[in-house]
Amino acid sequence: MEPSDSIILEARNLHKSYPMGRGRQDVLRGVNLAVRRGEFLAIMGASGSGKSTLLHICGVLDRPDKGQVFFEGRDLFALSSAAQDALRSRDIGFVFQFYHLLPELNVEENILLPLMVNSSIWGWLTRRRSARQRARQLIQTVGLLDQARQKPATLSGGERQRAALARALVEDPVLLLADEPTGNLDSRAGMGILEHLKRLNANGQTIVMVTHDKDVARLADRIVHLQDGKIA
Amino acid sequence: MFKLLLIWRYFIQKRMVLFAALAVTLLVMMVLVVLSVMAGLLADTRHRNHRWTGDLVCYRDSLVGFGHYEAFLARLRRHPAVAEATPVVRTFALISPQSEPVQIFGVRLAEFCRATGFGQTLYYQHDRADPDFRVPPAARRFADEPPLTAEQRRRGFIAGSLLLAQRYTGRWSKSALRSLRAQGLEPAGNLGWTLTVFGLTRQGNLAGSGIGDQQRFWYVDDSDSLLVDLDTTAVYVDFDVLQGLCYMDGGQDNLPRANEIRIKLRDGVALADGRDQIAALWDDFLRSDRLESGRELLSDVKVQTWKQYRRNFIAPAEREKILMIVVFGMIGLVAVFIIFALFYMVVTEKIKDLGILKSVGASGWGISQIFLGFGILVGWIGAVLGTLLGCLIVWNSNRIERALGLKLFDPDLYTIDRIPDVVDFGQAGLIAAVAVLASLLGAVLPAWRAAKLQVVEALRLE
Repeated sequence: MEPSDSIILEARNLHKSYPMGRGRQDVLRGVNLAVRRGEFLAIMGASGSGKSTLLHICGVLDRPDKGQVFFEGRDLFALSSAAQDALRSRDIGFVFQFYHLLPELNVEENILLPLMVNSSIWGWLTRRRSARQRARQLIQTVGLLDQARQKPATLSGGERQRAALARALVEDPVLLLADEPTGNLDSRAGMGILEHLKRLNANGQTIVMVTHDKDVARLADRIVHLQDGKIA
Repeated sequence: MFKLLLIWRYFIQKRMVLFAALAVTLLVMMVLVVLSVMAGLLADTRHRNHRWTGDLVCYRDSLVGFGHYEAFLARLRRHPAVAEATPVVRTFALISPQSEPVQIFGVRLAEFCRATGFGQTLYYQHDRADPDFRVPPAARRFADEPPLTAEQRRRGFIAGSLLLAQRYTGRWSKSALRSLRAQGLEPAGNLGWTLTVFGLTRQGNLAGSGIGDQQRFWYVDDSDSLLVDLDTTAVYVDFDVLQGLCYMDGGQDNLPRANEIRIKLRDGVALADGRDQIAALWDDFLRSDRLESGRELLSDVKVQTWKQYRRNFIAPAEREKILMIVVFGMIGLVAVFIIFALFYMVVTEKIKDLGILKSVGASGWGISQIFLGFGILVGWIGAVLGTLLGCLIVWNSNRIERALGLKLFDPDLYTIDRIPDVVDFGQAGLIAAVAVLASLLGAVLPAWRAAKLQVVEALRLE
């Protein structure tokens, strides 16, 4: 069975285990999941339940031991490594709990990073102006105009996460994956991020968010629970 | 594009990387300085040996020498590759009364100076067009002696500079020679040496009385060839005088003999080509029907370049240079490991960044290019700075030596009076290129590790 047109992401029978001592610990045991275009899905589960692992596999940051993931009908793990890289940079945006901004680059440069990764030197010279405009627009959207030239180390947690969100959106991805985006923020800063996500989703952005916080998950259209390595 | 940006940012923001560039800078500078000085010393050694020898030498090892040299000289002078050729008698002598052994060379001085650069080594007749052994008219042994006869006035000698100094001051030193000159040493004085020469017959037996023949010579000049083996032991006299004294003038058997012919090649004739041409000329000469007697003395005559003739004196300097290259090659290897260690540390520290880059779509090869580019940048900056610093040190080495109050090469002990201060840009370029390559090599393994990195593992490191 091929995924239907309205399904943007579909995980089938995903298995994943990690070495532990002399044996292996199963984290995912046959997970099946489908995400519709424009949906805001929250994946909930206890700590260590495999939420982040599932998200990483869906975003081609990790490989399953068994199973398949289809993204817009394409089997992600049948793609070449170059095609997977292109997918990560253009079609899937990531927001991580710990922001993962490059400390050597300022906010604007961090946001521009996916665009630079996709450009040759010549290509960058020709698209630099439009890329900057796009970055500026996102910086304004996330409210970091005054901090655009600052290094991440000088920003608050909320500001860093907003910068990370802007970076995830700079290539206008089809799918946004957010791994505990408020997990490292105070409630006010977390609320700000969630408002951004909600606004994005209202504009048609498909979002899959991992969280352990019920209040955060409540903002999503649909909530799935991961328990004992399976969707409950 | 992100690669260039990150290479530059890592370079300017990581102190460890600046240390790596500094290591390359110091290495390039050190190698350039040492090799330039060694190359300078070797070039000096070659130049001095070439200057004294001329381009080619046609000679026989035996002190008996070889005959028919005039006939061969006539052929040489007609040869299009030859600019000048001159015969030399070479033997040993004792200076009385201490019986100090010396090498003695009989030369046609003006001709010898045209065939070689010997004129440049003379003190009084430096580079003169017509230098000679003529003794000044005023020279005599004692004040009450009659003036020298015309025959005696042909018997001037040129002494090796250090031999002269040692004989009158007991020191092998240039400063001793300078003080001798200050005390009145000059050709017009009464400085004379009695030399005992042992002539040989064609068969190699002692000629004449069999106990050597003595003759008195008068000092007319000294030669500072900067070749220790010659400056400490060589005495030069007129060719005809020494040939007669050695019984090599053909007086007894009508076969005048010489030990060597020094040859200067015309400009543009390559040394090896010239040698081959003259060797062929000699072979042709040997086949000549007109060589009636003395053929037995011609069989082992060699034609050699100055490099071959003086190889025993040039080879040690060449070996020293090769040894230096090997030693510094090993130091270079250590530098590669230092760079490798520094880069490995940088990669380890930046593992999370690499995970972030992969998460936004950078390929493994793209990430490894950051580290390879990083290696090239560190190597390039180190090579450029090291080359500049090395050139400045080499060009100003003598000034630096003076400013520090040092004397690395005591002119009284060495024939080197200044540190060589010429940079061979070809060599400098090669050193710089090797430094860049070494830095690149140092970055290869870290780059490979970065490329193989698992994104999730990298991102988990917090």
